[in-house]
Amino acid sequence: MLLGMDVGGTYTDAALYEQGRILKISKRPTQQPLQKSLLNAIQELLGSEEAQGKNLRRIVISTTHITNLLATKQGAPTALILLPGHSLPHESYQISKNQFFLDGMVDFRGRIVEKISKEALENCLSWLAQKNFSHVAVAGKFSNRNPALEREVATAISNRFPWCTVLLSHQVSARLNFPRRATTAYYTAMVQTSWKRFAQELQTVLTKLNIHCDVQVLKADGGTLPLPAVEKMPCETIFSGPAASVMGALALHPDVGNAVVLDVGGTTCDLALIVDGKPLYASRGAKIAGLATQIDAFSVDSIPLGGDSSISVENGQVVIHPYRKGPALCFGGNTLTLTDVMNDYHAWQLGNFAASRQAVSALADQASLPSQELGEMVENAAVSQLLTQIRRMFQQWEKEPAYKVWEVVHRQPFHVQKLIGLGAGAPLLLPALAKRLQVPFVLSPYAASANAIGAALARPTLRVTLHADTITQQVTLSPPTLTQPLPKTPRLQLAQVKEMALKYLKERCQVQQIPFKESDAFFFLEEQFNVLSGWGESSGRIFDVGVQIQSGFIDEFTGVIS
Amino acid sequence: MRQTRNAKGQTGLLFFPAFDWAITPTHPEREERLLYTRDQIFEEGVMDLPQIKEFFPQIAPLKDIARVHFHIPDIRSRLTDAHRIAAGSAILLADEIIKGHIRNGFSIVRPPGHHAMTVVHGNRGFCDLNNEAVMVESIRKKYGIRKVAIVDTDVHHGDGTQNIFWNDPDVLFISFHQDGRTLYPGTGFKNECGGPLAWGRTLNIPLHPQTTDIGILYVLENLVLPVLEDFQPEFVVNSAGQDNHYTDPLANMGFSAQGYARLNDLLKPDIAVLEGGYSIQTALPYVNLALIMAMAEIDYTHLIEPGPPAPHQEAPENMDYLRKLVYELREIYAQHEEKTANFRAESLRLNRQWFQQRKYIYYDTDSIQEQQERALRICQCCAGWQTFDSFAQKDVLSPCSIYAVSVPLYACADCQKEAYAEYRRACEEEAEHYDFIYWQDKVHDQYKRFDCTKEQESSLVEDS
Repeated sequence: MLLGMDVGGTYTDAALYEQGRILKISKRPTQQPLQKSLLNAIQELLGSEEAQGKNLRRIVISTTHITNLLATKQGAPTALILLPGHSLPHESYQISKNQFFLDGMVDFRGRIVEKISKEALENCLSWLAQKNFSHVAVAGKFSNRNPALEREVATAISNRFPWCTVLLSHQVSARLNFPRRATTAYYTAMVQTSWKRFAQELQTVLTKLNIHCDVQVLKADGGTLPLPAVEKMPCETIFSGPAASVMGALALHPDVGNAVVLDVGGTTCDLALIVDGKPLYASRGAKIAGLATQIDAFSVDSIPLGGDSSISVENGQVVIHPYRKGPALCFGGNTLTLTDVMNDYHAWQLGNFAASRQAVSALADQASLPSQELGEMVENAAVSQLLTQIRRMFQQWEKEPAYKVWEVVHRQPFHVQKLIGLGAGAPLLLPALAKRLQVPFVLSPYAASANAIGAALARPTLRVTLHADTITQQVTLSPPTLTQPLPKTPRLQLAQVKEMALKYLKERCQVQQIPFKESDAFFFLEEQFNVLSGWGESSGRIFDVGVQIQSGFIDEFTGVIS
Repeated sequence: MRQTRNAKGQTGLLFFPAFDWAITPTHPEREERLLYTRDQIFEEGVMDLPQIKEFFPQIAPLKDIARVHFHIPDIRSRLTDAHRIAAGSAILLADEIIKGHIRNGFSIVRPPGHHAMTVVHGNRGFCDLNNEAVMVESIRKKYGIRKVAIVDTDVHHGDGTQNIFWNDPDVLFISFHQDGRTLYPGTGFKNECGGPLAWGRTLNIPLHPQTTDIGILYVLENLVLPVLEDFQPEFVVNSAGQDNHYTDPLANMGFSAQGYARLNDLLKPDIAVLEGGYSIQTALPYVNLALIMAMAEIDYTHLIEPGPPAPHQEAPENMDYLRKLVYELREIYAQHEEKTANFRAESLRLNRQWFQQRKYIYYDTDSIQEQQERALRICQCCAGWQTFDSFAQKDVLSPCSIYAVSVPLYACADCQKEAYAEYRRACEEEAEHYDFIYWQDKVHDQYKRFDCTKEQESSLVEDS
């Protein structure tokens, strides 16, 4: 038996799965602190009749804990020390209010081209002493190619302030993009302590309930991470809610090809693309509080349109407001919503149908329109909003930058084959949208709990990258970043480098107790360059390789029986 | 001052390093060339900057290529996809700039193009397709733009671009480069100043080896900028070679990353298109970044390339040389009206209808030797149509002869009629002398080829 849980901003969803069956689902308003919501949901599910006599093997939790902390700026006060070298002006780095710039510079081959001056380092330490920080993040340009300067700063800080926690950017990510790496390191340093506390409390709750199974946390890339491993990278858990929904969509509707997932809630609609059966990633990493990070996330666009969106007519034009004043009239609310208009237009007899019909008729009279026409106008307006956003997403996907001839020549436009509806509001708009796009749509009876189902079934993901340079004879593996001398192999080949990356992935899987199957490993990056010196003598090679266990489902997943 | 179409817009970047294309694995024009530039601009997070917008490349339409070149035997067999993507990328950015979607743009692409001439039998100076020329003719055709300035800042003379616009009085081509007596392609002297009806619209600035930022910026401020101010181009192109850098292995100049930034800051081109630059570790990452920063109006005063410092003093005798050169070239530019009017009047008086130039062209990369006779029909009211009679061979067993007729974009009705009659006449009467006869009608956007062996004519059709 598997348990999945998504503690969202408004609702906490939970689901129990066993051998193709959803045994039980639960939906409750989220309570603070979040641990309370977790406790209640687990108790409700495990206490249910359906769960009796069954063995719980795994719990996966998707939580907004870190997202909330960062959005409300409640992380620990953290200093950020930057080593940007000599290029962009310092003003272009606006990551933290507490930034300090150091000299020292590493280049793209990992060569130290300028050392940190004693004077600058001393100034930096005095600044830290004066500001009294206990959390420090250090980020150097090209620290992913050579972390020596970052380490030097860390040693100096630890010697002077042994109580300080120092986080180095190369430990967080080895991908190129200094500002994002710095931001990711900064955010990580800010929330690490708080996550530790959260994880401890969670553990207490589970112990109290006498649960000793495997506990995993969902990440923004739709994969899971064992609870203890999250401590090193708590920021990976942001935006796991939308990721849970997308995974749920795939669990409920396998083999979809190219699809759009629409998760229509009370006030927003989240849209995601499935390309060739795989969720599309945000190529530029997730943005948190306005800053881009290096955290892998699904590409999810949100628009303010949902079942509770308030409706009015202004100057003869239908207006769908981007806010919610309360639930639909038919469900006991007191303002006219999209749900009421659709209820009346399609005569769905939802809830207090008379309340919907009466309000729509009043608004239609006021606008001097027949009710039917008003309904049609509202539906068209809502569908048009969705279409505009969907087209924008297709275009974005088609216009992703490319750096190889092959990629340009083989780029295809996105052809959607199916729409997948999730969330309580999906039935309102999906049929009309599907008609406009002339594609079929699917709506599972479990659509409202897809996020919890997705979380329950998601498998762990892990991605490692390797950068090897046969001239500097260094190989960098990440994460966590490990720089080691390159074994002397004359004429190192791509196949050998790939083997090294795969081995590292396997090792990391072991450390994190993730079952490793070679067939799940996918090389997402394979580049090799001949390095020439002078006029054409090949003097060595540079390799960039990336391999990952992609998002997907654990072995117990055997589909979902409706 | 020239007005930017969208002064508040972003700077468009199209980075296309063609990581899967090389002339040969060990050629300077190879996959590795933009690797460290990639590392630098990605690590700097340039693509995330609010001032920057990144674009996906496009493949240049065949007609855009045929409007500029005669590829022998045809475009598809002469060019790879990489070439068409490099040119297509420049076109795409130019479109975005003219539509006002972005303020300016930098197309960081390979392969380069400024040595590719009108007639292309093979690769010259690492080039098969002139990215800038194709882009310029494309936007002139699409948007009714007439006057364009191309400033070639590559260390090598932009002989291909010069050749293409030689007889076009509406395209001002300015090239500064290391003196042709000391560097490939061995041309670009000050007396090469355009065809008889476009005299003074080609300006060549041969620079002595070791010229520094000071010298080049002197030329820019005292020659290039005043001339542009007078010419009033509707679109300015920087044909941007990064090989004036003091560390470039194929040349001997003394320019720095700061100097390049300053140059672009002053020139304010609408678009910069990457040309050469083979110091791929010590110059390209920093010079390309410098250009991006200058175009995006980001403060570049911090930017210093690591390594030994750039030379920062100009030899007094070199400054004397530059002062004299600037003076002479300004004279040449100013004489355009007078010289072309005199030439027309003189031709009328002598009943001279044709102006002919003979040329011997060597293709260094592909070792092809070409002999070409280019004839300009001297027209009293337009730039005149042209013919190209070209014979090329790699060795004695592979000779190829072609004849081509070209009608310029702003040709008068008489020239259009006359030129077509000549093409027809050649197909009927001269087929035995040639392998192919080409027709290039920029006015009607029609491009044809007559295969003399098969006696078959075909029109260029866009691939689907």
